[in-house]
Amino acid sequence: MNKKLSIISLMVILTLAISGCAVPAPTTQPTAQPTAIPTQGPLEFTDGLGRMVTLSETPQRIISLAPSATEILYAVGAGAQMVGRDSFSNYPEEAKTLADVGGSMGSYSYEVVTSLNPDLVVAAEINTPEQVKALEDLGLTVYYIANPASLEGLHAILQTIGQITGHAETAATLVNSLKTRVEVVAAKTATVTTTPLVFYELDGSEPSKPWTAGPGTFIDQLIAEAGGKNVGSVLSGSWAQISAEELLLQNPQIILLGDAAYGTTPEQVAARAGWNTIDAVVNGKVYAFNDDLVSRPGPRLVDALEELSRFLHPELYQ
Amino acid sequence: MKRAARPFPILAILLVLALVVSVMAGSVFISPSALWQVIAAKIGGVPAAIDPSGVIGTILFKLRLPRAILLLLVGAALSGSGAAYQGLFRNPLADPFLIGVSSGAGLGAVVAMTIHWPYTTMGLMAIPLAAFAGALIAVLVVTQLARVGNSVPTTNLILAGVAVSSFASAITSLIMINTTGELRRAMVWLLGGSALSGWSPVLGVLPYVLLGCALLLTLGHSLNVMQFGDEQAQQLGIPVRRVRWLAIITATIATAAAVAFVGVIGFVGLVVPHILRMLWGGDYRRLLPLSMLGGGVLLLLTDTAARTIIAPQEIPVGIITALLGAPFFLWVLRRSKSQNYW
Amino acid sequence: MLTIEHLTAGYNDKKILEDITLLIDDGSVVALIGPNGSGKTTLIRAASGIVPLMSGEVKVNGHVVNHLGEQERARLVSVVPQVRSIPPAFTVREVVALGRTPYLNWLGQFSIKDNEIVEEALQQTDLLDLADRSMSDLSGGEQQRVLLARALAQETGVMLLDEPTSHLDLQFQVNIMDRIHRLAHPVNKENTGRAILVAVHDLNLLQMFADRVILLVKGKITATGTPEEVLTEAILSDAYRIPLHLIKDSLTGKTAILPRN
Repeated sequence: MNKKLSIISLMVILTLAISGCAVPAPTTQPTAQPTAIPTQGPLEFTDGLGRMVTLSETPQRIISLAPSATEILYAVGAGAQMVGRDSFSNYPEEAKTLADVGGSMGSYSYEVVTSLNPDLVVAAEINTPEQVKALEDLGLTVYYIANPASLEGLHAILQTIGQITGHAETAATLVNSLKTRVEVVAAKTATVTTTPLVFYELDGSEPSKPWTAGPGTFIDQLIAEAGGKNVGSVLSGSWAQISAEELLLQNPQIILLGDAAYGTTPEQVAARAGWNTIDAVVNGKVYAFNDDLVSRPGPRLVDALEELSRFLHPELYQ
Repeated sequence: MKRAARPFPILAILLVLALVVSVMAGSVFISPSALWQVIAAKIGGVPAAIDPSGVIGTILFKLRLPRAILLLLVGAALSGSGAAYQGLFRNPLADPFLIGVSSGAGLGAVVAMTIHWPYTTMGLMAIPLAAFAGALIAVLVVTQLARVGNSVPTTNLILAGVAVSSFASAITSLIMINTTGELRRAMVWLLGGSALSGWSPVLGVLPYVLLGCALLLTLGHSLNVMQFGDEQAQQLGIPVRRVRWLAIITATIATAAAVAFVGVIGFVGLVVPHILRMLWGGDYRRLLPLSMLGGGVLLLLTDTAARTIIAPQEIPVGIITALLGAPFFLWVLRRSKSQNYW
Repeated sequence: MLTIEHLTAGYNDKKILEDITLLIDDGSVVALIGPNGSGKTTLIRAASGIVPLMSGEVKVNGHVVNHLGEQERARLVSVVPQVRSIPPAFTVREVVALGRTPYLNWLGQFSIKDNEIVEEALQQTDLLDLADRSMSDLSGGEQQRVLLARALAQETGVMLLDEPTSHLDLQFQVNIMDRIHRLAHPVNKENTGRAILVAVHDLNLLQMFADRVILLVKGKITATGTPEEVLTEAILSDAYRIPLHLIKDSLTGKTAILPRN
């Protein structure tokens, strides 16, 4: 009986401890930070999850939980206001000096986030709603950026982030320059007479069944805007597998290696069984491509567009 | 290794130690004095040098303490169920996921992850609810497949469990491969890296685990008798069918709730009862409560390690428990040749 | 007293036992014999509630028991099975203690009286010296004795034993059968002797302890009576389908049963 009693009392104690501790701590206000940037009155924004986000002052201690968010924040000029970022944020170079809050295995260290005392946490679609809620429960202000469906959607996001961080003007300038650059490419592309077929490789570790980007992805859209056609556009899903035989049948004129960062080279591709008959390989049009440009919904999408235009229609740039 | 002394005090002390360690360790080390000050300030309202609503207070009361309690409950549910299943199936490889809880929960969770839920209370509860439902449905299917009249013979249960689990896992993999955006999120969940933070998962898990564990504890003697087989157990007066149903239902509910909130954590339900059986014998009246305590301690310690080894990265707990499990099995294999503890 | 009336039982709608009627009085040992497959084990299972009856009744001291719950029935009828696979982690005392199961509360707690009864069962079967040993350390004969002690601890008026002497040395066979006989015919005349049914193979040995014999062939009782009445050449040769020769031994007064070549 003694043993049963000790178990039961242990459980009772645990239950009492829980109920005692379940009283929520008072929500904290971020303490005022020394700053030179002029602050504005309280602003309200609706974020990508439909949440109402209120900021009484311009945030000076921003943490980003996604590489795309980091790039956007730096692009609108808010880099100096950042104090932390996730493990994958590697662009721009300065971002690497910020404190690392985790995320390489899907979970972030809320402890580090809390100890950095942020007044704004920016999340993107790679973050889950549960993570947003968890940060909310810790008393933090969170803004969630939903993926834009197109470049136009990106402009709206840049402007909003600009307003939030007190860089509305910089954001507006950035948006204009991006629009101009896109228009330049569009004008040039309007003059082309060919529409090369492009194969964008996401993962070629199994050469008989490589992975490529499907319809609706950014790379798919950008290839079209750069005057090309994505082999993967007739497949389904954002990550789609294609058999090497089908690829040979399609016979793309250009191959872009999005997995170049993992060590895939044009020489390796040329050496793959059967691939040496593909147009792109025969003509030496296999190029490394920085997948970060298109996998992170940010201003570098335009960089990607320009690079694609050069690969697809070099004749426009003689 | 024969019976060491006084298992309950030893485990109780380990429990307290594990709790203290888990609360102190992390990206921010909270020293014992800081710990004491913050707790005293919160309970007594006494002003202290460390503000309980500041960073340390937030980390302690909103992150570490609820997580510790959650893991204690989950560990108790998993190991208690594991011990009960090992007794029920008279099989040393029985674990709480034998009849489909983990694969059913995984399928439910992954299906829920393919849907973009609105950011509301219900929307945020969607995945744990789907996981819970998936677990229950899987076990229901297994028991119906295994049923013979009014009883569920153990062999049938194991076979049906394997079949349903494989099937559910296959569908889960299929879904994961086809919705690449959610692939990583699903993987993390299936590896036990999804411990939701804060007090709400604790409150969600608490009633099921407490009730489930309390009911399981009443089955100690019956499980002892059932080691002699259904026939002899019945002849000795044990309502074997009823005990089996009760054990399955309570273990299923407790583990389903546990898994719904922290994802799939393997090995805790398998390893802890084994160690304790070797130390303190196979009397289920003792093994069940000891397993519950031991499971909580083990899970708490492994999770503390998982979030501090390469901070700020948090390794999914399921990976650490699996890494522990493999060498453990080898060790058990070596020892069981020399000793009859089963 | 165990009474079985018109019992028919089997598995999956197949009848193994047909219209069995028998009576075992308190203070008597009845041997159940018959060729393999005749249904001896099934009869013990049916009487102990493991196999549901297709028809008929099982009564203990006049009360029908086939509809009782496991716990109530276990207080009236105990079974000593063959020693086959015993979970090794139990000690002798722990196994015997399991015999008290039908009397424990829902928490499984042992009272002082329960413990006394366990000790007495150990003593009656000369197992006190071995009480703390692990079951796996014991010989087959000793293990069988433990199962007998367990049934004793169960304190039932009716005991059913399923071939308790198989696989045992002759010495242990005689030992066990002797104890069983004394359970039905206690030295102290104040104690009620139990009603005991023992399924056995060895036709020679049963004569040393059985008060009556029941012959079961293909699920039906074909003969019942004293050993002298049932163990005859005609009856046995017919039942076992092999010509037998019976020789009365003047020294022991028992009949040796040998196959006739």
